[in-house]
Amino acid sequence: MLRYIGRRVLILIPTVWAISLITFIIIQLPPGDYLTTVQAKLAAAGDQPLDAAELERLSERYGLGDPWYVQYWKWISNIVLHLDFGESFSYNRPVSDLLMERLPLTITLSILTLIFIWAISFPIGVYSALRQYSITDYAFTFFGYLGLAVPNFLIALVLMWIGLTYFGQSVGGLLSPEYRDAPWSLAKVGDLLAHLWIPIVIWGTAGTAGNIRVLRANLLDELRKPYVSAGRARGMKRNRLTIKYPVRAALNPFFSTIGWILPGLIAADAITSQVLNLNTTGPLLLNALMSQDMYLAGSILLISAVLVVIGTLISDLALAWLDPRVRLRY
Amino acid sequence: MPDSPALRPTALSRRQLVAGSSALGLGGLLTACASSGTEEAGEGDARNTSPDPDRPLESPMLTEQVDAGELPPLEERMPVEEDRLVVPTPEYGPYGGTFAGVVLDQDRGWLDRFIHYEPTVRASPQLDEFGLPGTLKAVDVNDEGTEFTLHLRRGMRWSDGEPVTADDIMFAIEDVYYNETLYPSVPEFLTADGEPCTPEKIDESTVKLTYPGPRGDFLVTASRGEQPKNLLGWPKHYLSQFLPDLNPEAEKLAEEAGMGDWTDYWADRKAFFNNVELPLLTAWRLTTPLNEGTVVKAERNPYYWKTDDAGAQLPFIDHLEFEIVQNDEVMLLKAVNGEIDMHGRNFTTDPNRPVLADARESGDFRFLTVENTSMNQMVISLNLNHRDEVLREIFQNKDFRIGLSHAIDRQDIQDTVYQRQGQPHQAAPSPKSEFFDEEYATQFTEFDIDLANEHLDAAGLTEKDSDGFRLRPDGKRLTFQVDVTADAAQHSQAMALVVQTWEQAGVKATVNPLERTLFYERKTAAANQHDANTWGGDGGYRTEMDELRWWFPSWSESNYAVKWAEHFTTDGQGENAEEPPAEVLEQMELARQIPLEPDEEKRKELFRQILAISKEQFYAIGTVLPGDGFAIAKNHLRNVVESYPESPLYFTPGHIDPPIWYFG
Repeated sequence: MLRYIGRRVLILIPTVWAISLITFIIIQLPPGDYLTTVQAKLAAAGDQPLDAAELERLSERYGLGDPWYVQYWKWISNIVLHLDFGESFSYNRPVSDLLMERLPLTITLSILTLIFIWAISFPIGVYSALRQYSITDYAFTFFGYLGLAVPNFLIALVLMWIGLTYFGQSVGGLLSPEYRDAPWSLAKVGDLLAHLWIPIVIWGTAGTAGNIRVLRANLLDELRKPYVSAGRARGMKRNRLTIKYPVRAALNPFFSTIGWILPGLIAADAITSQVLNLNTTGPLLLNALMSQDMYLAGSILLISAVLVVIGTLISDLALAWLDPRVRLRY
Repeated sequence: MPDSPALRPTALSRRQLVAGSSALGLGGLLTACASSGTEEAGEGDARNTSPDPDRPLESPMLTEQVDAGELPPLEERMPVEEDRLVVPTPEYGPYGGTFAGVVLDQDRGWLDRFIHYEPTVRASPQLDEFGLPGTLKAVDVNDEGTEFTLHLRRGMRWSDGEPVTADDIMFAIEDVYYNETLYPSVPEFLTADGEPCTPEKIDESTVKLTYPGPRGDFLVTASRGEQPKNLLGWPKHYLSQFLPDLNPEAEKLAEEAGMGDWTDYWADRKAFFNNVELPLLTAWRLTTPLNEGTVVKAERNPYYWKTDDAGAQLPFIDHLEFEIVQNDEVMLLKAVNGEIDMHGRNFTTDPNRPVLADARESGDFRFLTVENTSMNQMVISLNLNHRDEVLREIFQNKDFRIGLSHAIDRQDIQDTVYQRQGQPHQAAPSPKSEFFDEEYATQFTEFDIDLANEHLDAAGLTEKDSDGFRLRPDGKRLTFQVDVTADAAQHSQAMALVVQTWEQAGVKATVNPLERTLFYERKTAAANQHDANTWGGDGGYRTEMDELRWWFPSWSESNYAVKWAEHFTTDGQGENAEEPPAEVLEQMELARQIPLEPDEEKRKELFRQILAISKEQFYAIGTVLPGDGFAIAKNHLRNVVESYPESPLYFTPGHIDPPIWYFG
């Protein structure tokens, strides 16, 4: 087992390094750099462009004239040696500060969404499997596919429009302007809740739909196994039997994907966040990529990648612990 | 304009009021303005048109701070009475309130324009007068246009309470603009004939600038919004600590702040939108910067030096809040919902006009007319400096360009792409402009394929291939790509129509939508990769003489001849400069004379000569004259002019005086 863990950990290092390198190169791939994007943006907004001297200074400051490997080395060596993720060009602030500002909301939303997904999908999945091909099963399946198929941002727009036209709710953000600076009160909590359900439902739909389908399929497989019939034949109560054995077995795939939860916590759906105007890491990353704000974009991607890798490691270990065949193969 | 009959009389009476008062000039003449306000009092729902004699002359918010001993009394905070800037005020608003605005992500442009237009001398709200009193009380100019005596406002203070003195201007020039590290070459507006001017401190509130030659456009240039042109944008008592010449510890300060070197820290500290400590002369000072959190907040500057025309300190509005919005569709929704007090950027576009028009009543807002300073929806530039010799020769042939111009159905473009707004127009000054020349504006705009064929034949492109497309002199089919930025969706649509009608005349072109950065990358003088491209018609009205790109190859945005433009900007020294033909050189010579000419009429005359050559040369092909744009304002926001020209040079809406706006 120790050898197995050691191997997995050692493989992490080149993996993360390769990811960081590829990320950096891809961010650099589009033509131009941060400054040309800034110039183009200014021109498009009808503002005055930066003068040549200022451009020269900024280019020097950000090291944009250097070849990509020099820039890469500057970035990665600071991270490895000083845990310094560099500074965002467009915000003119350290990347870590920007992330810290956004992480609490992002993580809160992610956790709430996760709870929402589980709370909805678990009972429905079990119910659909037990009542296969019933009208309710078809209904849940229909809405499930709908949730899977419709892009999140579209649902976001529709819900916002409904919120606006039928409930007269302030759109975007999590608090109405009048509560933004108000001290916490019941009314403020109410206002927060009135806004909070929208992103949770939107992010939840796709996940919920997927979960329902997986759970239903797994459970159907289990229900047809002989041990179920045997249990029933020996007079076990149907509900008790189902929950105790087939459902437990059907849950296995859920736990093997536990590793994905970790990166999911700090990443928020960029487009949906942008449409809903939520100050999460999603739009930060999206805008950083679009304006070629390299250190910001690169660092967010790198952190996500590291979390994916760690999450996968946890999954692997859990699986090895669960299933001897896995650890013996190595 | 609003259709609702209830709104119309207000709109008109207020517009007349503002137009009337601005015609009287900004400084002085209080009584005239005040009385013209009283006369209108009976009309519509105009209110507060005569000042209440018992009203406070400062915001109650500040009175509280004065009573608590946190702030000196009003008299000590403002300049001496005769040195305060009096802004004509149609209505005398009550103090207070929080302005609800929006900014798109890290777009500091709107903050700049809204808060930061406090130049030394101002442009009028309608941009028809320049050099009006601003942070400076007056500027005396000698007859030759070489000496400028700048008079400061005595007793004026920065937003932190420190006095504004002649030393601040001396600091700006000697220590900032003449600092070789910050400005490797002295900013152009401080030079004449390439030589820098000499500043001289006369007394605590007077500075004299002596130029080596005439600097005719000094007052116009100084009326612009950009920080590099603002002699009173540099508080010495605060900023001097960051310059190593004045503070040996400057480098250490930068290091402590985690900056690479002192120039980085300097750039960081002088940025008002990110540094809330920077002392300002603006009506509001930021308390939460743009790069932190989700809302940019600003509060009134207690030391502001302007009053309404009955002596009350401006601004009327106590607080500003700009929510940072990630996406302009969200902004639009917020506007529809009536959550934005005033905005004229990002989402106030023609395609969004119907949505917003519908929501005016429910959202309780109105439209303001933003006069377009642009003269064209889309100007097509053929690359006259094309890297390929054959294409270059064809594009440089005026008959070819005339032929293509006749092969454009402008009416169709206007109807299908631009909501039937505007009229066919070349890349020429707008009809509203004093430089308007009907012949120039309408030459070759008639849609006539036969005429187009005649001109294309005359250009020597008589041979055609089996598909009916014209051949180049070297026997290949004549084809080229027109670059369009992908975010200008209307350009792609319009250009698709143009390409269709060009085909009828036997010219094969394709539309090439590009990401904005790539579009820019391809059209630099160094790359020069573009065959042709499209851009809007900047500089058609009010800013004709400031924005020269379409009149002759004058800077990198003159997309039809970037190499000739580089010849102009670098005096022929640039790496990619190319010597232009004699007519273009003549325009460049005329353009160089303009800033040296002290007499305004003579400057305009020189400019007319440039335009005459542009008309003859027909560099680029125009399409449709844009209709007026719009901005939105909530109905409770008052004292806002109903119609104004838009110009980035003068930080619109900065020049229409947000400090006099109030909530009624």
